[in-house]
Amino acid sequence: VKRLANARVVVAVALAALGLVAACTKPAKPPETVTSVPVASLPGHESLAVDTTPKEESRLVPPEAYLRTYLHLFGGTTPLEAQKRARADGTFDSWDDYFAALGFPDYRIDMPRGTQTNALMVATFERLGVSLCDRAVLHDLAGKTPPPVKERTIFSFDVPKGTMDRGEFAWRFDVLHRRFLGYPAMLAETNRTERFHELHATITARHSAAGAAKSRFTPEQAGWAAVCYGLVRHPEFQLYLRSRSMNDDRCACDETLPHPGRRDVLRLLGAGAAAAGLASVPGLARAEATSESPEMFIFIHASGGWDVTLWADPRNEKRGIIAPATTENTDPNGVRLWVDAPFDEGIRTFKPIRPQGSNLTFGPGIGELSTMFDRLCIVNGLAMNTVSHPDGSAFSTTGRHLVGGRAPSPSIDTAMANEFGKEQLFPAISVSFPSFYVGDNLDRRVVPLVIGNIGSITRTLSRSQAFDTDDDRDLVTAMLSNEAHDLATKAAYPDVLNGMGLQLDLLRRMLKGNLQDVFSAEALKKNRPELNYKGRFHGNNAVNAAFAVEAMKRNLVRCVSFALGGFDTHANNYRTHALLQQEVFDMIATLVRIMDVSPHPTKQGAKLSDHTHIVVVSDFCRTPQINRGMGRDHYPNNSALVISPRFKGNFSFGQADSEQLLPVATKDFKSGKRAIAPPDLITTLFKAVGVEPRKYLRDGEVVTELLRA
Amino acid sequence: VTVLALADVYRLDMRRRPLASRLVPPLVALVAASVSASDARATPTLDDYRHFRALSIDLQGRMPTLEEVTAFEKPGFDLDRWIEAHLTGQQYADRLVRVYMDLLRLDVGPAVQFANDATTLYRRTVTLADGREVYVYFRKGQRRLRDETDGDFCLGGADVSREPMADPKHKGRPAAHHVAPPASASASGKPTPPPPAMGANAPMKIFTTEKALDENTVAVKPWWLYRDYASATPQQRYRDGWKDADPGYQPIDPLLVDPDKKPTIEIRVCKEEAQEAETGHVHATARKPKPLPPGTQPPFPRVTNLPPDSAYATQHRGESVSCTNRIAQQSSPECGCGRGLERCVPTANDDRLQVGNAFVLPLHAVPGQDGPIDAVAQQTGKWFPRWWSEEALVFLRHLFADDRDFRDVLTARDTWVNGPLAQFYRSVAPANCCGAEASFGMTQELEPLFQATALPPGMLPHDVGKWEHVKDRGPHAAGILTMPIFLEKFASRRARGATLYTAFLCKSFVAEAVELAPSSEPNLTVRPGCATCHATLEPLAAYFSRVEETSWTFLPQQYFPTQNPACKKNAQGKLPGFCNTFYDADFGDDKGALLRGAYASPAHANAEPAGAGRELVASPDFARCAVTRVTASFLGRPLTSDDDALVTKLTETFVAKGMHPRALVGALVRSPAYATANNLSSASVRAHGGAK
Repeated sequence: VKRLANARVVVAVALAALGLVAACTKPAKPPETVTSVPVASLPGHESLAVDTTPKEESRLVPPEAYLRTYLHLFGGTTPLEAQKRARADGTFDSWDDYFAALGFPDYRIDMPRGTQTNALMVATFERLGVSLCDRAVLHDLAGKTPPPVKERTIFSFDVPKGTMDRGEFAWRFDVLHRRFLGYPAMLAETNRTERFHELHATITARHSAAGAAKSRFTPEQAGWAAVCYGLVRHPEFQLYLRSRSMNDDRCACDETLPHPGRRDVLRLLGAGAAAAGLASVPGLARAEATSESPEMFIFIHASGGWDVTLWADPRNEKRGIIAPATTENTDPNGVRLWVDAPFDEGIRTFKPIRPQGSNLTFGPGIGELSTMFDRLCIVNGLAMNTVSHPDGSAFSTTGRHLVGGRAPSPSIDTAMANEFGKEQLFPAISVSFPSFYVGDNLDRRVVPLVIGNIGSITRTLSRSQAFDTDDDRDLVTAMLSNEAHDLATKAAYPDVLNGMGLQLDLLRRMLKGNLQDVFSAEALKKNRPELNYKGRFHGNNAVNAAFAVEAMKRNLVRCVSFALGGFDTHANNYRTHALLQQEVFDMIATLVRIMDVSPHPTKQGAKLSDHTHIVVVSDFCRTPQINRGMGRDHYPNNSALVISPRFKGNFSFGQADSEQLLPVATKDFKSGKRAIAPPDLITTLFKAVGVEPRKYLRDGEVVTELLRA
Repeated sequence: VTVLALADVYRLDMRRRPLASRLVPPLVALVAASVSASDARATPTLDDYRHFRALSIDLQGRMPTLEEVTAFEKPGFDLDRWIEAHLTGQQYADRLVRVYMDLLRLDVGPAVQFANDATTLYRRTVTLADGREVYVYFRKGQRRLRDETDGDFCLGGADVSREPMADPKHKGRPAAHHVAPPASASASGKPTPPPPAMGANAPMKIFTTEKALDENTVAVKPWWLYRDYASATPQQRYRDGWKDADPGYQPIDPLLVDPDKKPTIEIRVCKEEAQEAETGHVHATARKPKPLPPGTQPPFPRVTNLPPDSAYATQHRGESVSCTNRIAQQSSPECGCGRGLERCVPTANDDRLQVGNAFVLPLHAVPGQDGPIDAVAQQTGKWFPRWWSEEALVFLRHLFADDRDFRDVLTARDTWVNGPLAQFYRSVAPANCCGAEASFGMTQELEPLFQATALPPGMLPHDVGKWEHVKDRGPHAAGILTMPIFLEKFASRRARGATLYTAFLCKSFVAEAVELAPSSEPNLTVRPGCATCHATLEPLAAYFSRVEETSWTFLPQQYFPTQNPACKKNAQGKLPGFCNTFYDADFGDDKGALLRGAYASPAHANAEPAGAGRELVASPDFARCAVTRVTASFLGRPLTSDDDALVTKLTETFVAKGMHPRALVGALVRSPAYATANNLSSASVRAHGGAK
């Protein structure tokens, strides 16, 4: 058997080597799409070991289920009743504050459900768990005459005074363990009872000590509250899990030796080919991407599909099918750079803007950013090959089209966080940005912290001191981190559990940072008054830009990504599209100005803007024609904006044709002459900051023209 | 049946896994044996507990309680029976609803509001001579007989002032002073300011007399305040005589109190809006107001110029018109908001004349909760969209809870409505029509997707939590395809077609490496590059040609023939102007033009959305896609070709059982794939030196 397995490894390696040779010698072609077919249909696979293991790790229990469980466990109330009760003592805000952080999908704005835990989600579990446990202790154990054991919601046992030995603790703990985790504590794969006993004893002793922090709980109540926190926040509570025995049984392979599967061979081939292609790019010094690197990133998604003819690729003549913005379809009031140009009888269009010294010509939507032309690298004629919002968003931010409705590659913010931000408190903050955490080579710490708004960070991190102390909660978190890591060592597939452990460690750091004082929306507005918080379209979202600067200044975050919506203007709402663009580009200009004067946190003498890379993308662009509703529909062309110290300024690349606004093939890529596409732009950004693109991207070539020498 | 299905799936797994007898988890073996020896179960292992927990999460919507765990541990616990018992009920249904809600996302964001002028009641505060303030409700654009107020607020001209007005009704007070021309002197000797303009940018504070108020407005006990608003003398006021209001029905406080903060007993409404007639007559003034030169004050005064007669009003002067449609509001002073104002919805953005808040509503649709997880005051325009979304949720919930044929999701003519939806379909939706349609002779929705006559009687707008079955919405209805939420969420024909293709056939439109060359070919099914997707998409989109984009208005063949000879091209190659909204010049000639969107398949256009439903459910991919969607969701991972055998077997079971979802889910949760799902990755296998 062993010989056979070894032979298989040899075959696989030989195949991989053949593939590499083939990739090096074949003329360049467009990336080949590999269609999914049953393994058995591939010639020769009857003699190869096939790993038929399902390719998914431990997954998060749906938020609907754990919310319902919380409410069921803690008294069978409705969400709103529970919220009302918990708010009374300051342990809770509103469910809606935690909606995105808990992983709920938001169908209104097409935000998909969260499928992985992240540090903010773990923080939210604590906020909720502590609140619910405190209420349960108040109900079950507090007061002069606690209810009879049978009528208690959680603690259905008597609580003696003082400390307890292991035996006394164990059976009571078992009641709670079975209640929260659904099985007897003795079956746990860690030394859980001892751990919780120690936690209980420590907290009880702390609260009994002279000079202990004031609490509404007795020491015994505080001890049991901590046990409750530990169980309701336990990794096993949030995840579907299997034990190791089942994991071991899961694999349908009948061999014991590791072997590269079909996908590995393909991956090897792809990587080899890619490496061969990239190695030949001249003039690119490979900087190393490390956590110590000073590079930071801001990614902005103009959600809905913008009209490029109003800013990056201005068109003011009727040519071919192009119907430019005119006073008939656009409201120029308030668009500062709109200067009338004649168009038709009684109708005016705009005069393109070319600032003095600029190589770039803009439409009036560019707003204040036009004054920074020397910093702007504009890509026009981006070939999108899609007019679907989800696909366009994914293609722009991952460089891959959706496959079966799912992103097959990580988004750019996730990838950059993985390269630069693993040690950061917030590796990637994603405010409604199309972030995707996909792939085997990603660190669990960099799961984007997806939130609905920046304000929810502070609400998630605020803690009441009425019942327990910061130290109590920290002790619970530390214990849970150990539980997660221990469970990971027992599991055959430890990534998710290790990730939760790391996220719990991150939470401890977050809570020690007093971040809520710095990052409340009010504090951010006060600290960064330069931004326009009263904007008609995105006044509220200006706080995202303020957060980016303040968090980067403190070296707390590596990537901030956010979406700015409202661009999907199919109807009469197109009239304000230029105004919307102006507001967005004004915001970016202000952001750059602030970064120009903000010191970099780790690079002495440098400013934030010296090492911050801002990329602004959209789903696609809008049709050159005006539709019956006086709006514009979806169109498979696009533009993008990069403001980066590594990218050329006062520079534009690519173009769309003069009559139909379609991408024009402008560059001889290895795959032939074609138009630039999002994978090329992302590849170039990776290369610019020293990241190996093929680690994250299947397609794309470096466009050296975009980069500074 | 379920056991047979299980056995099928199980045998399949056995074939693929020769060591299965050794590898099969104890619980799965137990399930397989449960029929013959349900009481022969050993003490549960950790994996058994965890499997039970997963089942509970998926079928009960929550983790098991202590009591349920205790029951599970007892000898004789019959897991198969437990599963069977839990393949029903709301939580089971909600689990499946989530599969499709995650795909279709049937809720709309802030950009979609439904608050058109014909159905929205704004309000202004007017101050009387004695200092009392009164809200007066009105519709924007309401036609009135007086030139001073036609198409505007009903108090205007001499009825209003910017200073307190004496009232002849009240002795001892200053004589009524009516509006003086600008810069004239008032009794106080100070220059009298010009009378206030009543339009959109009118000043905040305006004065009037009680006489003018009485002449131009009437007191009404509106539907949002009175449970029995339809009676002659309503008595049951919200939170007063009507104390058992549905907890989900919450008008915001500003709608419940007068300006002096006392409870509102009745409201003042412009008399035209308060009318209850079902029909009116088209009013035409023969007025031809000239455009006002810049800086010129409109007469009487008005902010806007006097409204001209519409072309329709001119042509149909004096004709009868239904008061429920848009034309009535725009052309008949005899049409109002109906009994208790039920054809209109209030908004409380006082005096700013923009849509403001009206009701406290949940922000999100979250299937699986006992009640909403949030509720905040929301704009009037969100009132009906909230219920549109709920209609789809409730429809899907019943579809799964009642274990109906899954094909009904795209073909059924029934639905469920609550009070607000009944109000919407009966009294409000018709006001979305008709404007440009009138040029084709359609002045009201003649063949609506939802026939109001199908509504159950007695449903009141306040019954937000009471859902009743509507057996047949009408001949054009087709599952979710003709619900307002689907048609608004996916506003264009192509978006509708693409969504169906993806969600129900598991296919997507992606053209990775297509070169899009400039072309003047309007037919996207043949245009180079575009054809890659559009050859399939356009015929699918054509099914929605008879439902207006961004709307639910149905265009009947009688008025909108697929090929319309009235819309033929002229010598310059142009269609008559009125045709352009509905007919496509690119697909027209000197004999007529095609209905927009129909060019790829006129037959599909005539088959309507119901035809799309029939085509999709007849596709061999439909059942397999449903199985794939549900299986991927329950296993928590995308399926791969390695799952083909499982999907094939489950599909066979699903089809054999008439596509009733319960058979599918029953077989799925009893399969080894489900019992052992969730935490494996091939990378991890290799990282740990390979599997056993």
